[in-house]
Amino acid sequence: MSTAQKVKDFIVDELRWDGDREQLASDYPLLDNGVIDSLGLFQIVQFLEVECGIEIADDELTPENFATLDSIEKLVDSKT
Amino acid sequence: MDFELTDEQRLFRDEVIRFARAELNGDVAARDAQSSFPAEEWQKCAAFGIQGLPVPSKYGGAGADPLTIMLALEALGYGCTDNGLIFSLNAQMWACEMPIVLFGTEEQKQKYLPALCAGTLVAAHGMSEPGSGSDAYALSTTAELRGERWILNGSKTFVTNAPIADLFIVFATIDRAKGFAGLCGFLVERETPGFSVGQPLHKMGLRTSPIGELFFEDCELPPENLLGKPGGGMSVFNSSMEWERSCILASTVGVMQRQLERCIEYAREREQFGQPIGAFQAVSHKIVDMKLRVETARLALYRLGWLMANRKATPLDSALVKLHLSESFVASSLDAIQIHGGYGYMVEYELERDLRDAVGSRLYSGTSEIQRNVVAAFLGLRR
Repeated sequence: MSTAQKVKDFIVDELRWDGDREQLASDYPLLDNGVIDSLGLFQIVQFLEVECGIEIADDELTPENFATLDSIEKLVDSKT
Repeated sequence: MDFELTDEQRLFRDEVIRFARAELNGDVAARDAQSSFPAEEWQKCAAFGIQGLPVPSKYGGAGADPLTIMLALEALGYGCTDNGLIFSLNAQMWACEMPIVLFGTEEQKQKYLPALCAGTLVAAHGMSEPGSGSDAYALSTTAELRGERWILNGSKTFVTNAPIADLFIVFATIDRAKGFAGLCGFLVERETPGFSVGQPLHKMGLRTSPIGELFFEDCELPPENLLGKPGGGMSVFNSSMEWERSCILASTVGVMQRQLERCIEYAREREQFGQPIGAFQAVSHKIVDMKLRVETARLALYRLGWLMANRKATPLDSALVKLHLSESFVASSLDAIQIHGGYGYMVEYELERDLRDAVGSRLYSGTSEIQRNVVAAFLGLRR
């Protein structure tokens, strides 16, 4: 399963996003559309660190890195 | 699992206690009554090395690890009876020094950190606004880029150290519609045109720690005053809050230990109905509860220090520590007064001040309710 898919599942199943799962395309703006709030962002960070065995530094918590599922995957890929 | 402190840690802790008792406790009740900031004691703390604890040695600090810092602050709380002074120190270290350490450019670090460690510069952190407290990212102070320069407009409130600070870390939004993703951090020097500091606000406790408001009216800042990346203010703010939630109440473990020892001594000496009041379960059980709180608070704090040192700490861990220490501090401060009866209510016994100081700990750096929200979210209990 791709990182983008794992994060999508996490958003729906754990963050309990109440929108349509199919709406969460890989380029769907997560921040602009309020899918991820500040607390949710840190839950995703912890999920990625445990799930992918990576470390995400404080200065990597930028809107660019978490704008879409694609950008999250790109961030994770850059570390693995 | 090893619960033993190293010899070096024990010696350092004892040294902090000796320093605090000898140098920081002159007429704290009067300072509190006058809401007077202890500038001389601030300088003594800097000379001892308190402000520099988390700052790398390259910039004039000690570069201490989280657990050593927590031990030092616990010792400070045990030896120093001025919780306001300790609060001001914490406000500078976690919400001003650490953001510069972690997000500052080399020029920003060189310019500010040595003076902050030396005590010649005092810093403050402005995030809360009249309309945004717990909902911090709903702030309305704006930052507009005109050419290369940033223009700030808006206001901040409840800014610890504001009346005496030389340097301010403030947050503004470049686009309110973006929420936390529009946040930017800035370094603002006191004399910057368009920037002003309001009159000190008066509060219930922590009165030796001054607090006030900030105002920005077309306050123009050069590009080098941006802290972090444009739109990256959330990570700056969150990082500083993580440090703050983790460390700001370490001193209360020392205060609770001091309260416990005072209560045991009093309960053994004070006699009513022909026997020491400690012989009555109504009193001794309160003291046992105080003991339980200080032990669990210390364990939770040290565990967090270990997690931080090993880069394993999460927002859940710091929220639990902040929540437990603040609630324990209020409960033990109330118990200490109750055990001392009418004397505990008197200003000269210096127990009522602890209670007034303790109440704020359930509010600042995220209220107890917000800490519970954070923990609940990490337990999968959101929405």
